[in-house]
Amino acid sequence: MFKSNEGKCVEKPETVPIRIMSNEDSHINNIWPIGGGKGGSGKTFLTGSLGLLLARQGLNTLLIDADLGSANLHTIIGVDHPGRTLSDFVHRRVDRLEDVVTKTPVPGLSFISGAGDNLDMANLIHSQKMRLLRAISRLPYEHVLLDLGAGTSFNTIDFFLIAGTGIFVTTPEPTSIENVYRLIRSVYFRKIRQVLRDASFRELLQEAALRSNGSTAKNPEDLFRILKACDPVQGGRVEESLRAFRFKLVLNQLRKQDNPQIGNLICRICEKHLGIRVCFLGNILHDDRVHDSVCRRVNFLDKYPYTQTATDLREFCNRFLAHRQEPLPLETSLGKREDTTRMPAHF
Amino acid sequence: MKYFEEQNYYEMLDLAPSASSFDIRHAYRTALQIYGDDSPASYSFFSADERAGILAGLEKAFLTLINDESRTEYDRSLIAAGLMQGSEQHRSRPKKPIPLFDLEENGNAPAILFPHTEKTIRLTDEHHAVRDIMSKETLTGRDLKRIRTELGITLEQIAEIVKVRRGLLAAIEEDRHEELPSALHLKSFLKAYAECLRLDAGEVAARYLKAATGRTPDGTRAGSADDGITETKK
Repeated sequence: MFKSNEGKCVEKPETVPIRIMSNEDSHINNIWPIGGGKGGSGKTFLTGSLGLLLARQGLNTLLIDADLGSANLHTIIGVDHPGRTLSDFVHRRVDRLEDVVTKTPVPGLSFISGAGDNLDMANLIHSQKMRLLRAISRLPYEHVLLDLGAGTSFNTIDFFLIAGTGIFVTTPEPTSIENVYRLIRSVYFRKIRQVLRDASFRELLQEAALRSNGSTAKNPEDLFRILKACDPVQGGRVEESLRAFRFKLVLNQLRKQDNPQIGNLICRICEKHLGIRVCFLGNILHDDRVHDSVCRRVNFLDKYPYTQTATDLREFCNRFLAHRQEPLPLETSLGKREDTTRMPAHF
Repeated sequence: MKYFEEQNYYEMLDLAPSASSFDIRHAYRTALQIYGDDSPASYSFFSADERAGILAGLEKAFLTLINDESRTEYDRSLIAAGLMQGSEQHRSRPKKPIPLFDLEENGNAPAILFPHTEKTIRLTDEHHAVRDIMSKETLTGRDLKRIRTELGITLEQIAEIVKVRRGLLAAIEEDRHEELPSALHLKSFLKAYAECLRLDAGEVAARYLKAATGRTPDGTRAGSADDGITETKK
């Protein structure tokens, strides 16, 4: 019954991922998982602030605290004692997800808490996650922001994978950047794992071990390279689904002495070396008053609206809205490549 | 997606085959920002070996492309391998200046400058005279004037875009330091002027100020404060 974290948690591999991303679920697009590799990079604060700004623009917004196991978004948005929580829905104590939605003091902003859950909430199995996301996508909200936990557990990664999009939060510190790369690579790895069937994945791992003299491949891109060499059709499928991701990156807690270009450079590395498109949404200046407002449990944007950080947050929100409907990368850049991979079908 | 080591030099540096030497320098600088040893952006992304390999590759790419001869040769090999179209090739052949806004030769030349066209940048960089002047350590007003006339741009056009009185621009070009505003204002005018000519604005301003202060130590004092400054403040 009780499941330990990560590796020991036995999950059925999802063999038919294409169906997950099919048209039926295309309205999943308005679900935005927000995560980042490292704790303390400001995911929860950014989620709360973005939700508030969206609601203030008249967009009906729902925040979900999916930091399962260590939820605390309610504190940021000023809901002291959330009533029902996500765990009630996951464990079928309530039938409809609507029943666990809490109103917040801000008009237009609703909230589902993940607090006060049982121990096993931190390890949802895939079918539970799918059920949850399906239920979320059926809710009548224009934007749904999912505050995810730190780390690269299956929970976090699967939310990114299923939504096909998401916002990564990082700070300009090497530790945080390292963890974001780790997260992106985990998503990458899991995508390969998803597209391939069990047997072919095992074959791929063996092949990789063979090629690198016994040691396993270090990075998912190496695996992908081997896959592409051995099986171009499967390789093309993986490549296509990687290109279909529409990730965003926001650089939080930028100090004045930091290089403001770091975010852009990170995006370029992901694009160039992983083939994953990441769109940069801007820098958010570090401000000690954020700490102050969290401690006093007041909203930063209301208490200090005329600070650079507040301006950055508003800018972030505007860019988020501007980029949310960007065309699928598949249509723009992959056009040429798609033709060549599809060629055999026409013969 | 192509892997780094499979990419040709242009792809490594994210350049178009027609890129100018200015673009190449810029691209190399950006690449070093990404892949350099102390770059926070790629921290932990590459192993030490991978990084060294990439840096070596980039350096080779840069050195090949920045030299006209080796670049032509490299282009030829790419064309031979079918990786590049002959028409895309960078042309360094026309050694003579290309008039940008030659009103006599083609009557439909644009009346105003479009400061953001890529073409202008490239043409600026291809001008040998411009390149020679820009490689000097200091820049005088006369140098700026030469670049401007070389590109066939009139003072009026610049005055229109930069919103600075024509007389003041003329004073800059004729090195009449006593008529110039304070160093702060002068710097921003110079930057705007340089941007019109698609030059490196910061460099131009710095080198001009260096020349100006070098010759007349008090040359950059706030001169006749009523001209130029007050006008542009509005």
